[in-house]
Amino acid sequence: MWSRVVEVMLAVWLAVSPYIFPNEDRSPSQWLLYGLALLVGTLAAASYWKPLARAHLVIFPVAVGMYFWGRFSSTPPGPGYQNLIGVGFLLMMFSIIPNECTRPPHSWRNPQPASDRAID
Amino acid sequence: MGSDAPDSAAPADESELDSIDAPVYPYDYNPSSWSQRIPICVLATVAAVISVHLSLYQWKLIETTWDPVFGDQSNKVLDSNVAKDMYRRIGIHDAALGALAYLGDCIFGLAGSTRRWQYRPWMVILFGIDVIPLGIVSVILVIAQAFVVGYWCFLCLVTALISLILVYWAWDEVSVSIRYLWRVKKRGGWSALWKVFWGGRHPVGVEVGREMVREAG
Repeated sequence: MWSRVVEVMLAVWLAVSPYIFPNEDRSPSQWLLYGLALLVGTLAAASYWKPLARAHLVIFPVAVGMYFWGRFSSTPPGPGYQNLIGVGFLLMMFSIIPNECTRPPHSWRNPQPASDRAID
Repeated sequence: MGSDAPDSAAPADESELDSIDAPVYPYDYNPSSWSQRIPICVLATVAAVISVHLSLYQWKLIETTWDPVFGDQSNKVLDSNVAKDMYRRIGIHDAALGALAYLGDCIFGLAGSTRRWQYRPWMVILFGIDVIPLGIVSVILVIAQAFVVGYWCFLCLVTALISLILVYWAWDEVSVSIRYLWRVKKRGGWSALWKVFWGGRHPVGVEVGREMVREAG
């Protein structure tokens, strides 16, 4: 679940970004950043709950949207938008890492089914 | 692929063949083991740190870059019109993009079990795409940039060298996964390939995996 922990940390970074990149003209709206931080953090945390174990995959399209928002908001993007692009790239990579990724997938952890032996 | 494999060695029991640390054909070691992957992650992290240093200069947070060989030429490369053009196109500086790509190598290198060549081939292929084609392209860009701009950047060349080492180190695991997927496709068709690619358990995948482990013995 380390990738989910990193996603929550990136969500916290997004939430504090308005204070690190305060230039209002060249930075995204702080309320949109708070909303993004809440969304990313919630999806990462929800992945700990078994029925929503794949909620982290929803972060991927959100991260793609962050890239395009940062890229096309102004040319060239200011520091706040570059931050959005960088965090977007990071979230794209982390969001596709499965929970418990260092263990085999569930189907490979179970005892060998009879169908596997049929072609031995 | 199967025809070029050596004859099966002495029969091994299923627990050995299914061992998560088993060596796999065509190597006599497991390319997905931690001892194979951790050095890749460490080296990628070193390259990421170097790229962050170059990014700090492009963001104008430091006054100059460290270059014991070419001196001021590194700054000229990083301030060149080629670098600025890439910044306008991508939205972030090329050094920052490089840092993200090296971090990606590290992230995808850390994810997955020690038998991910069979259990999660998609992850190995993604890791391979991040390391091999992107690594080769970055090396070409660094060298081309030197000829276009007319200056050399020592740390850029170091990261290019690291990219080539990463390509060499990552190749064994990627090639094992491709061989595995190729054999599954030949025996089980596209449906079996689709299932095993995404980490599903399929009888053909189980059989091919055991066969490749047996051939390594």
